[in-house]
Amino acid sequence: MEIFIVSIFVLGYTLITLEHSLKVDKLIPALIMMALAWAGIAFGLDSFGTWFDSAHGKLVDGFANLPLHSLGEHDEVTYSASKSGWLEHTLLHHFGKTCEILIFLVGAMTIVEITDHFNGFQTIKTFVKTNSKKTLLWIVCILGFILSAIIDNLTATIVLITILRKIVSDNNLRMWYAGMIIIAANAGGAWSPIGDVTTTMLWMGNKVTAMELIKNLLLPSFVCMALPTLIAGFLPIFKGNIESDGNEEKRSKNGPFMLALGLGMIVFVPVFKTITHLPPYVGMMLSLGIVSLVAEILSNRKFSLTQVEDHGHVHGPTFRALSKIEMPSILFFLGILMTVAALESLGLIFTFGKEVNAMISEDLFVTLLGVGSAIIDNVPLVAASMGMFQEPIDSEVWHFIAYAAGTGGSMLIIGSAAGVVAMGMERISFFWYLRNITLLATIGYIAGVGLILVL
Amino acid sequence: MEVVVLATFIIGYVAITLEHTLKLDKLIPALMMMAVCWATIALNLDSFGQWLDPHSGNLMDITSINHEGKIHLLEGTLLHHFGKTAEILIFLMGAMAIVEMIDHFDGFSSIKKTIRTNSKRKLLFIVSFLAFFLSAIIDNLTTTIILITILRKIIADKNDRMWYAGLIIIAANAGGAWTPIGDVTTTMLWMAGKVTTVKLTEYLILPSLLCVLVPVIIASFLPIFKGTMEIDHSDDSDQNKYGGLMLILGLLLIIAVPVFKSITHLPPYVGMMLSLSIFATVSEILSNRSISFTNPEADEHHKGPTMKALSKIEIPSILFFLGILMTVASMESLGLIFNFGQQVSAAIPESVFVTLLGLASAVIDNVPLVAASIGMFREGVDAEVWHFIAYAAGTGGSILIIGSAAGVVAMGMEKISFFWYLTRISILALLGYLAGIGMFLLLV
Repeated sequence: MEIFIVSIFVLGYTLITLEHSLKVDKLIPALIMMALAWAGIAFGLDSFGTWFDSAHGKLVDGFANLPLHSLGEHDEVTYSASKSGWLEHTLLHHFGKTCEILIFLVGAMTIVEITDHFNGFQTIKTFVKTNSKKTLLWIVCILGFILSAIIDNLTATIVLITILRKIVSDNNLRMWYAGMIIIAANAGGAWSPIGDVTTTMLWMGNKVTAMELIKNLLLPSFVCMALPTLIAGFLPIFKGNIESDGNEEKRSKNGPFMLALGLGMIVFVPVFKTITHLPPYVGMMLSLGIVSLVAEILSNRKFSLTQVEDHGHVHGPTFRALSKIEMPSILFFLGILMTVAALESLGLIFTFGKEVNAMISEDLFVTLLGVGSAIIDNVPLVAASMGMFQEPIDSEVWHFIAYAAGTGGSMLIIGSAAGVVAMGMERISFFWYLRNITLLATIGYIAGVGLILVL
Repeated sequence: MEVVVLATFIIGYVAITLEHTLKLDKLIPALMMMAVCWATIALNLDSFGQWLDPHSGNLMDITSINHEGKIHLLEGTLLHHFGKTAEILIFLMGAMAIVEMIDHFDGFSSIKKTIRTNSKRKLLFIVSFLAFFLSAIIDNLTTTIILITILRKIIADKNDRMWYAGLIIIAANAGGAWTPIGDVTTTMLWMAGKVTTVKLTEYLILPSLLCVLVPVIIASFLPIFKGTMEIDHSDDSDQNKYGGLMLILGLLLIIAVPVFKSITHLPPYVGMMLSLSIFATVSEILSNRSISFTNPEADEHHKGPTMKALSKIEIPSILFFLGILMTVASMESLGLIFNFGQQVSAAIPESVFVTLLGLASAVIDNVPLVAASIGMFREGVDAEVWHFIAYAAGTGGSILIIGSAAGVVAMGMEKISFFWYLTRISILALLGYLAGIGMFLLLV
């Protein structure tokens, strides 16, 4: 059964990477492989000898000897008494965690769309006075680096790509910028405890402290962002100026206000999280509620002043913004993350990692872990490595893992959440990224690794 | 602190019901009350003495647990509720996307063709009958979505359609009550080993049938269902040749979801995603072919039917759902619903209590109600009270539009307001509900 599940994964991944040649939307293989992988687990449940408990990051003791179904009454025994209990519990755990990301994403995208509805990004456009492609590249990358450290790399990518859509009209050029944003956002997320899911995991798991993390990783992360940007600056595509699209959009008088409110409310999310210890999506929904409340009030006023005719149903800005959200990207995400969760649950990733770890040195292993995070999601990788190493708090290996898992994902577009979202938003294909961006990302990654080892 | 949570809930609910007066999308209060309720709980965790464990449905005394332990408990509970809620949301998105794709291929116009009648009253009977039996096989949510989509093709008049939608809600909820897969709450009772399939059908088919027949017969005498209507035949000519095929395939795949579930024991959303992707594959293949034959200019981005269907999904309804369910979950976790229920249950006889439970399920979601009652009663499998609870929680929700998942979806799709439903449909639903209860008590 393990072979069946692994081959489903390999086959599904191949279909996703071949999306443009097959002309089948990548969403479809992603969802099919999720359903088949879990169905495979459900059918072969009795034959599995190992099970990975993701909530605690370790293998379940004595899983092979558990009965398939629990024998007692339903409410008296806990899930840990039977294999089917573990399956149900683990699936709900992964699904809950995945949907936390999805709902968070929906919230962030909607706030950005509402801000856009009020032409909020026009303010930034007028602020970015430059016409030089190279200067814009540096501005965008540094913004991506800093933003993703404060909010997180997903939101930073979404915000910056949305802004770029307003500034750069050429599709091909925008894909290049998007690729560089992915690198910058992932690098920026690695050195702050709230910047990336994996660093947050290490921080919450008491493996690193905020101060030490910043001290150890700020420089390597910066190099990881700056070196690719520097090289890209010499490429022909970033030569010359951007032709402005001429027709200046009319500026809404509430634009700057909504921009400040939108960004303010997004920055508020980590604050809310730190105060309440609730998952970030709760704060994001509160922020969304507040932003859309203000938006509805402002636009109701605007409606009644300017135009009297409304067609029975006034579609407010919230409604319109929500209809612009890219559902395919969201479901694609669901499929990918849940499939990897299936592999993770069987202990396949964990066992494989342990074997590799026994053979090679620690530094090389963590470097490879980063490379591995380009292929599979970095969350299960870090979860597994938290169970594999027994080092104390703030030991070097944890910081190294934080860097490797955070930035290694930039090497392939499917390697990081930021990349997957960019893939959806800008229709970047797997191979386009592989040909054009991967090399730059690899150079940055290795330079950062070198710097950590030297320091 | 319980007071703050309750007050937030009440204010949020009032804002939702006043949606049209305030001109504020109901999504906004729903999301805000969810966040505020959970934040209040998280910030005042030490002031709470009891906690409802979502895994077992038992009320725990947490006064002796330290702060760290309470945080852990909160995280576990929140993740559990959120996971369960998201299962419904993703399921809903899958169902909506399949229905939208069938629509993309004009699949529903084949149904429209079979409905030859012009009489409003006959159409009412056909639609209610369809809703009752469809919702027993698939589930009342999907049924409501499918039937309202079909109605949109047939009936041009908005007001007429709202009436039909109201009766569809009643019929779909009634139809869901008597099969274990028809409704979330009956599924819960079934999965928890409280009722068996055969007994459930035996006990509840007649009361459920009466619950839909009474309102439909009364409604058929109302002036709005008098006379005939214009059926819009304008778009019949350019029918897609795959329409019939896609309709059958789509319905089969939706029916495959409960089958997949009973084979694998995985939650329904997994099967729904599989069905969605199979359906999407077929429709991409078909539309690629049909695009290349008819018009060679495929725009640079080639937006397939999947993309188009997914972009039509109503995210506002989905997020609204999230807000409502998670707010109720917060009150449930504090044991508020559980305690209240136990007090009432001690004061009055069982049958009155369950009847009231059904009425209450019109105000709050029936899932936590049934979850709480599973913990409250200690009767054995197939005891009458379980079947009574299945009926009451399943059909009582029709009395208010926010009382059932089907109602909330109809509210989003047809823009039915809370008060419109209250002044017109509620009384019909109430009569049906009481008639069914009378029948149930007579039979046992």
